[in-house]
This record gives sequence, structure tokens and C-alpha cells, in this order.
Amino acid sequence: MSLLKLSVKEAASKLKAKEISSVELVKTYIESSNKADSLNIYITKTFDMAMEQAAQSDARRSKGSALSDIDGIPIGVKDIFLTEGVKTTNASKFLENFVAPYESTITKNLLNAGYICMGKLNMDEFAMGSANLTSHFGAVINPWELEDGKNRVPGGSSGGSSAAVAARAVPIALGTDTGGSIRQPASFCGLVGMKPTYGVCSRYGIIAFASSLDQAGLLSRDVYDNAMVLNHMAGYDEKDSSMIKFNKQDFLSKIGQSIKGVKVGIPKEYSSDILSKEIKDYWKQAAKALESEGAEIIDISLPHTQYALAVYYMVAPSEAYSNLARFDGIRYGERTEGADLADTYKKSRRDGWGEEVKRRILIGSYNLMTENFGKYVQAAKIRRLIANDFIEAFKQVDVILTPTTTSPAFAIDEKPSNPIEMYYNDLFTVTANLAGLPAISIPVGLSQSGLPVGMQLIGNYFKEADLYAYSYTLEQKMPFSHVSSFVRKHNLN
Amino acid sequence: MKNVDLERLIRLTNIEVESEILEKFSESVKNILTWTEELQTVDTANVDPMFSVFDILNKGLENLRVDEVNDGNMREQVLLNAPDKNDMFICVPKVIDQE
Repeated sequence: MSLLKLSVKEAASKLKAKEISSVELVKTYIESSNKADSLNIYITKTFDMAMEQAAQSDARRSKGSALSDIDGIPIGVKDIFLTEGVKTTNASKFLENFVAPYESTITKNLLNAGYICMGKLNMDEFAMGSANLTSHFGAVINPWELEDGKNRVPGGSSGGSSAAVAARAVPIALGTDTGGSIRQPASFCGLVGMKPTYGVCSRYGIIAFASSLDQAGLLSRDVYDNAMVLNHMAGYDEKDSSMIKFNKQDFLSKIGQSIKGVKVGIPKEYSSDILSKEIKDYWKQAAKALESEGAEIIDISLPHTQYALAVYYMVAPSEAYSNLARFDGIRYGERTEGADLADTYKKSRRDGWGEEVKRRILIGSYNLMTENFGKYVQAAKIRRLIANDFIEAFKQVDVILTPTTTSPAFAIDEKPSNPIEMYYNDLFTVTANLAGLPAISIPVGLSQSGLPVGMQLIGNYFKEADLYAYSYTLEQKMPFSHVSSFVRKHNLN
Repeated sequence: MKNVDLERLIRLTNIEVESEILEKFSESVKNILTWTEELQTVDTANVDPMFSVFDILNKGLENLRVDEVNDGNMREQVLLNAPDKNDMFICVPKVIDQE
């Protein structure tokens, strides 16, 4: 089982040296994926296709024509990315039988780099959730189990992605992040999770949730792997009309550089009352770790932070309300025949979605009612104040350090009974989405109960390479060598 | 929920909403109202609303590519996902009654 131990970087270098083949690697991950069935990670396994792709990759390599440094590397794909000819459900009954007619730009870019698609991973329905409890295909179980035997949530909405990497069903996985959907599950599963600057990754072929916030990224075992694969995803794509033209950066270029003199901001507003003491302690430890490498720690203020969650829940459901209007059961998706066309729309939308999606459509509809429109615009104005807070802060500091979540993963049966309370999971992560900034979560240790704790670094626009460099240093200073109980139990180590 | 025109709200969603979801939604609305009230207290005089990140990055809307409609040239693939079709047409329930 030693192949499962390899990072993407290590596996790639062994593939290059022809010490291992992609077929061997993929076979090993298929076996470990099958062992993880109890965690409900996959919606669709594409193992036959993966084996074919692996054989093609090996053939390319033997001819000396490997497509990239990740040619032959298996990757798990959140089921929100369209994959041509493969079912893409968005974890919804509505799209239960939907076969994508084209390929998303992100997966196309990865195909061009020779990646192997292991399958489509479970998630919250339409990416709406923070615990992977809203999927039509059932909850995903966190591979980190404690002695109490309770099933814990893997975070969400990219919960299948986080569980898959933490259970070693895949070495790295694609996710999307609208309010924290990569960073929060990464934090809950002891992984590195990166959401790049808005506009770095094309949204073409990613089923839209909230278009001004959605961004693709990766959940990985370590910082290097994350940067290595993001190199093959990012890039201008004219098919995404909101794409920003920028100079392509090599995300690996600064890894290993000294962080001496780097100014790290500690925002006082993130010291929330609901933040547990042990996470606060880890926060201090992380700041000390960076300081010991020559970084300067500076107290800063982001004064409008307290409004971020309210703004998010004005903006995101309103955009979702608009984006989800196209789901009517006519051109694609499940249809429930009604008495007439209008009734068909209503019944298809009733039967197609679960409770959380409907709640958010209702919230969006409420926000956008004529009489509430002023409130919506007020929220959009405060969104700018939140972004301006960051712009001001980045005149003073290079990067901002905060916890990723207020507490470690909770048990499925301890989920908040009030759905709005669940939204507090995103308290520390939504600000980066609202402002469009890059942010990364890095595991820094275990809670007393034995669950992973993550810290978040928020960078300035298009400073991903720097963010990876700082994260790498933090990773070196606070190495997270733990593996999930699932990995230990099944000897996947 | 007294202040909310529920009937119109639901009509705008185009969903036949089940009563238990509506009940839970009413609870959510209370929280949201509290939130939005809080937002009203923030001074936003002379602040422009932010609907996207473009203007911050000094890449105003004029830098976006031209928004041209094209059919994607994939009729067959698109039809594959239609719940009800006839030849190259998508079928829908009758819209107009014939005399």
C-alpha cells in the first residue's frame, strides 16, 4: 500500500523516473476508493475510464511525450464540474440522470495536462451547505472518527472531496468555494484547501450557485501538491465572461523562499466569542511559528467583519435565485408532469430539489422583492466596505492570519437544529469570497478530542504564489503528520 | 411573517412549496430580518454597491469580452438530456387550447 503514501509531487517524480506506472497508481487508488464506500464519497465512479486514461498516460510517457508534470495523476472531481459524457448531478435529484454535454474548462485544462478522472464526488446539493448533509445521495462521513464512534461531518459543500483525500481514496481533489466550501471541509478533514482570487479559474462548466462568489480550487494533503495542480487549472478562458486577464503565475515559484520581513496581520474582529479556546491557542501558535521565521506580526482591524455573514446571505441566495431559474424540467433535468406548462415548472422544481435549496431560493426571492431591493443594495454597499477593509489592511500587511472555523468537525447528530445556525460555519471564510480574495486553509494540529484544526491565510489579489510560500513555511513549522482514523484502521498508510 | 406577502413570494419562486418547508422558511426569515435590520444601521453614504470584484481590480466592465450569443453547435448533445423529445424537438405540455 506504499503508493498511497506518496504525495502528488512524489508520485509525479516516480512516474517521471518510470519507477511506477499510472496504471499501478490508479489501480491502487481504485482499491482504496472501494474500501471507502461506507463514507459515501462517490456519486459516480469512473474507474473504467480512469484505467483507460492511465494506460494512455503510460503509453505517452514511454514515448517520452508526457503532457505535463501531473500526467498520470488520479484526481477526484466534485460533482459540480461538467464532465463530458459522464453523469454530473450536482448532488441533486433534479440532475440525477444528467449527462454533461460538454467539459468544464477546469477539467479540460486538467485533461490537457494528462490527469486521470477517478470519478464524481459527493457534495451538498447545488453546493448549498457546510456539512455535506444536504446531498440527494446521502451524507458523507468524515474519515476522522473518535472513540465515541459518532459519525462526524466532513464539512461542505466540498465534503466528498475532503473525505476522499482524507481517506486516501484519491491523492487530491477538485472543489468549489462560494462561502468557504473548500477551506471549511479542508479544515474539518486535516487538509490544505485553496480558494484562488476570483477570476483565476474559469467558471465555465461549473454549475453556478452564486456567480460573483463561486471559484474553483483544490483540496490536497500538502501545500506543494495544491500549488502544483493549480498550475494546470488557472488561466484566462473567454468562455467565462467574467474572467479577469492577468499574467499567469507559477504557483510553485516562491515555495521555500524565506518569509523574513513578511508582515502578517491578525484581525481583532476574528476573535469571536464563539471561537473555542483551543482554536484561539492554535491561532497564537501559528502566529508565533511565522514570527520565528522572521515574519512581523501586526494587529489589524477589519471593522466591517461583523456584517459579512448577513451580507453573504443577502448576496448568495439572491444570485442563486436567479441562477436556478433555468431549472424548469423542460430542456434537461427531471420533470414532473403537471396539469399545464406552468404547473409542470412548479412541480418539477418542487420534486427536483431538497429543503435547503428551496430555502435559499425562498430567501433569494424574498431579498429581491421590490420592497426589499433597497436592503439588497445596502448589503452590496457593505460588501464594498468589507472589501475596502481588506484593501486598507493590505497597505499595512502582506497576508492575514485567522482560524478557518470556530470549532472542529461536529457529529452529524449534533448539527444545529436551526438552519441559520449552520450558516455560522462560514463565519471566517465568507469575507474572502465577498472581497474576491485568495485564501487557503492549512492544518496545524489536532483538538484535544483528536480532530483536525485549520488556520486560514488570506492574501491580496493574485498573490497566490506568495500565499503558497507563506503556507509552506507554516506547514514546515507546524507539520501535520496525522492521518485520519480511517487510514489507520484500513492500513492505507 | 405578517409583513411578508407570502403568496407573491412563492409565486416568484415558481415552486410548489410544501407547507413544512414554508414553516421552516418563516423561521429563517425572522433571522434574516434581524440581520438586514442590523445592516440598515451601517453608514453607507457615498459608498457604491459592489456586485462583482471587477472594478476593484481596475478591470472595469469595459474590459470584459463581448457578450455574443451562439448556440454552441451541440444540438444532439443538448437533446440527449431532454426529459421528453420528438425528433429534434423538446416536448412540453400543451400551452394553448385549440378550439
